[in-house]
Amino acid sequence: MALTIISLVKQVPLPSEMRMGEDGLMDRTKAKSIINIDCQFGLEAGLQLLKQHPDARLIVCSMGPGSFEAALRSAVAMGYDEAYLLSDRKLGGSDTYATGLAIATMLKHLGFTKDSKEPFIILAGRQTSDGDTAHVPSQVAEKIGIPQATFVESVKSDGTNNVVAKRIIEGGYQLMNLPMPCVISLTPTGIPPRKQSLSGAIKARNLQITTFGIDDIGLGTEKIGISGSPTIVAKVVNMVSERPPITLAEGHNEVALVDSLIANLAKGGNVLEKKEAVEKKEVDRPDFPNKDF
Amino acid sequence: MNNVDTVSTDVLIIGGGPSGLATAIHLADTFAKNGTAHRIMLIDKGSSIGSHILSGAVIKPEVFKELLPDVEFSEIPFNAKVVKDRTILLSEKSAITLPFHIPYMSNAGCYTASLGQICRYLAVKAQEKGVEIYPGFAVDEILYKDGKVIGAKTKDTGLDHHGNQLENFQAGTRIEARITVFAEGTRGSLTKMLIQKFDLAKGKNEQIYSLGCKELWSVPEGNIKPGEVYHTMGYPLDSDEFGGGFIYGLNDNRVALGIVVGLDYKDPSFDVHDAMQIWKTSKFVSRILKGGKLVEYGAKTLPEGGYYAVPKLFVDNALIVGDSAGLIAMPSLKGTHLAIKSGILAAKTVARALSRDDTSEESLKFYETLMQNSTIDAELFAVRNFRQAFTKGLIIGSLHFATQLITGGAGFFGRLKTHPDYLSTFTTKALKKKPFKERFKGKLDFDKVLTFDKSTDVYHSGVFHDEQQVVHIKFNDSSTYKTVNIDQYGAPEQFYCSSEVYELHTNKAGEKEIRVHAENCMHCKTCDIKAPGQAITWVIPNGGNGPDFQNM
Repeated sequence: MALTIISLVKQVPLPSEMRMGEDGLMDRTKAKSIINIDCQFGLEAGLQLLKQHPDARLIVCSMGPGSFEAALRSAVAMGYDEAYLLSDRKLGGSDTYATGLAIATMLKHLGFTKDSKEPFIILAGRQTSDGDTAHVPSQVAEKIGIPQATFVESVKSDGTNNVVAKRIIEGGYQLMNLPMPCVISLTPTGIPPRKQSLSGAIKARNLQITTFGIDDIGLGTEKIGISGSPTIVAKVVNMVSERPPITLAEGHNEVALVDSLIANLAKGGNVLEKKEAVEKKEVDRPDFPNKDF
Repeated sequence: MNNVDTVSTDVLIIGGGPSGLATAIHLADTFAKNGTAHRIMLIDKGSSIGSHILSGAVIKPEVFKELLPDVEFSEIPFNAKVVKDRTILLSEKSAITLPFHIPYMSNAGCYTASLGQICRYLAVKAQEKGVEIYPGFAVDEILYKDGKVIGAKTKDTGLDHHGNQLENFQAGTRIEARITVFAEGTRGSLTKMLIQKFDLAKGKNEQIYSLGCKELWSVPEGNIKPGEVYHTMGYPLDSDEFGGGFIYGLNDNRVALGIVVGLDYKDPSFDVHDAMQIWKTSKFVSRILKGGKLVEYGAKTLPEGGYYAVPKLFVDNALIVGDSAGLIAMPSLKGTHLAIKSGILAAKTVARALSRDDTSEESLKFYETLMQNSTIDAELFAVRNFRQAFTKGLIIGSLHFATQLITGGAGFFGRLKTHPDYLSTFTTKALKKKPFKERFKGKLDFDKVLTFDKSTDVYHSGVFHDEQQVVHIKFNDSSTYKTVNIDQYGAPEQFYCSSEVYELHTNKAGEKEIRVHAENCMHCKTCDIKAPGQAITWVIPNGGNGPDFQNM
């Protein structure tokens, strides 16, 4: 009974690569894509489990446009064996609920159900840098109907069909013992993702990625896409910080740095004035908060 | 998991610059023409092709027609055609246009370009032709069998600062190849090992280098026209410092500029980056940059030794091409067309060797024969003594050069020798002239508008290095480092380094020590060349690390 390790990944724009264009808007066209950082930790957690289960089968899955193949190939270059992509225009605009459903449906289609005879474990990133909801791993677990542990730093097999997950909680850790199959979502605090190997990159280059549409996995259109998503985006607000701009102390060594800091302090800033201005503004419109919500 | 994987290929090309890509393209074309199927693998240490490529650049385009005969010339992403080509004698306040071109420096018919963009284009072409390209992998070991090259191995990753394996250790991959082509660019780290192992520089001149610092600017319309090319001599360099500035007008109101300085300078506190900032404050240069903003920064060394410093370029199962071979024509500092030409000739040699099933040194000697009958040889031979003459300073150098022009390159003294650059550095005591900081007192406060300190410039290179790895700067003898490099030479690393990797720090006990910020490294390898006593070895860091040049 070989274990199957399934990693879920999402491809996101590299945050540091996103630059403001000349027009003042975010220039996304030039932004490079990466595997979401948390998902990279999920991938590494899978490769760590492989040390305890050398005969395990490693699968990586994603949902998104065809360009997401790059992320899947990167995962294979790190050491994964097979890659599956769920890609369908009808999935566009899906929220986390619809996404969880779609991914769960694909996994069930691949034979990973709660009644599976073969043990499997699903690893995912805690959350993505472009959505930050941390919903999807839980949604997938719910839809398949298997246990879940979220915000996990490391996961180890206990030699039976259980895994021990070290979960981050406020003020410490919680050790959880979960039966497989289960879903684990990984925080970016565990073992950092490994680099690709050249042999892996060669394998990835020649790899045939299996791509499914929603018809292939028997998923209807009613619960996916914008219309199938219960989330409603009511309003998007551009948050403008009222905080005064930060003055950085600069210097190439400790002495220069401290001199710069002292000079800045001596020069003073508009810290208090700004704060007062904000407070005054709030008094000016006393009926603003909370009422409407 | 710690087992080392082995892959095999017919041809392994190390480096995805113009020479490596030209080798790959011409080889793929030749195989297709002959109807033979051979695997060609090209690997590059940059995170993507072009990310470690930096050049001026004004490029001679003819060789592209030879490399890509079926491609419309306009398809190649050159920038503007050279429309104006001037050499300027610069001082702080004035600029005198020379009424003639320095011989061999004319740029008529050339194009300005971002060499990185051209390499990205060539990489696409190569892949279309079936070449397997893998960027983001560093090779740090040449594989040998019975004393002969049989390939290379990628670097192990997942090591801590001391080299211990971490939990995410990933073993490197052995790449076994029938023929390995070293196309690593200037001061290639594996090429250096290869040259040492087989003593390929025996009887040759020592290779000497220049360091070029370059910035790319976006300037207001009208400051400079696309295709305007200026080379400056003089300010801020002394007559015993070989080099000059370049300013190339590009499309879309961009301008590429920088200075190139021979690393045989004497002052241990000389700083090429800072000299470039001072150069920018001259009236002539600052006027072009007025109202503009810095887009990118980068630095690179150039092998300038020329004809007599080109090592033997072939051993059993291996060839050396491009900058790694030292193929740069002086005084125009053009190497791209020679790199591509050498790639084409290497490809012809490799194809012939594979078809004869003979990859021995004897068979690969054909590369040398092709070189000797090619334009490369002719071009380098004509200026074979140019750079050496200028190691004695501008005046003696010019006299030499004049005699060389009359005598077809020979001069009156026959072959002129060189010394490795690190030997030219004086100790702080022995230096007779004002040290750099005194020479330019009052000019070294950078305003971050026109002039930038190193760390600001480094930020504009997109440089990145993995935190967890062995520091890629190796001090060869830490015991003499303090007594010689710091005490006698005043820690010249902090000055010649183009990207502030080295910082001289005085600890609480008052002792001086060098701190290394390896994550800043621009991969120019100046430290490997210029450190007094060859005290520093530049080791290749993890694949995908280093600068991320976009349009350099």
